[in-house]
Amino acid sequence: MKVKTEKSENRKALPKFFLTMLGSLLAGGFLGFLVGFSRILGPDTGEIGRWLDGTLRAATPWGIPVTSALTMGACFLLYRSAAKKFAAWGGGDEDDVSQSVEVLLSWALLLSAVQLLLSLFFMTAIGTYQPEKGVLAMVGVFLLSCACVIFTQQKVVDLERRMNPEKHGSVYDAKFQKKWLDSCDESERLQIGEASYRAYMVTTRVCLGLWMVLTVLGMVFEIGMLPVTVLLLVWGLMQVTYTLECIRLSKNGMAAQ
Amino acid sequence: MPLYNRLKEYRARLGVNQQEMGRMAGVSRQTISQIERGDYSPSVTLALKLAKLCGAAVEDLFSYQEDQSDES
Repeated sequence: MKVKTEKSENRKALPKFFLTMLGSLLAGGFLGFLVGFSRILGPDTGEIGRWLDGTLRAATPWGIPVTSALTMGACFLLYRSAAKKFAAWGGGDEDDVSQSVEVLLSWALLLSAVQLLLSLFFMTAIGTYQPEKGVLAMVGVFLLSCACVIFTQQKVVDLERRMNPEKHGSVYDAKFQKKWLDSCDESERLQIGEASYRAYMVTTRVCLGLWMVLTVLGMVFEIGMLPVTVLLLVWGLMQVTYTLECIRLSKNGMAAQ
Repeated sequence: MPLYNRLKEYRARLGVNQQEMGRMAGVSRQTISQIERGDYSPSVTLALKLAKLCGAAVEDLFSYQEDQSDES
């Protein structure tokens, strides 16, 4: 086995690092130049802001019902297809069938999670714009949408449990995620760990990208410091949690979970 | 990972499907399937448990072969 020394690894990685830094520096300079240029000759940024604001204000009353109808409809179709395949499968050793059922259910879960985020977004928009009419009805639609999301997730979990009788937990239970994780075996825990690490890496990159975008936007629009503060708070929380958990696990081992 | 196994063969001798084998070993059907396909290398505990269920020595059930690339 080839043994790579620390020095040779560093020597190999350093030129790439400097190139990345130089590229970022040039991109930042170019963006700064564009920002300055747009202030002199560019479009009226206030006008763009007002247009975005007006569009979102108009979309607010319809946001939750329209997105809910689309995502919940898709969830229903995915669930029905998974349930049909599961009924035809019958619990044999065929991996293709069980894997396609798992994939369909995972997509249904993902769509329901996206719908929850959209509902929360439009609920905040209702609170921000405070439409003159029908606020109570909009709040009712929001609650109904949340109920539909939870119901869909419970149906998916029920089918998962029928496929995997060793799994425990109900979405209606506050400790559902812990109970579900406890009923996962070693390979499933490894899968969850790898997926979580990928999510961590993607979120880290997205946070860095968003910080750059918000910094540039802050020079053009009057967005204030709140967006960057919230972004850095979420990023910091994730970094601190990850590091503290790594320290805890290295001290106590995986058995201490 | 160069870990080979004869779990499918031993499971057939026992006359159980993946779901039943998983239940006996305390793991999911998918894990049994992944081990049989060679997509997942089980922990020492699970390997010993599976060997015990199959009535075989763990070396009979699992064998490790060094990769050519690892030797260079």
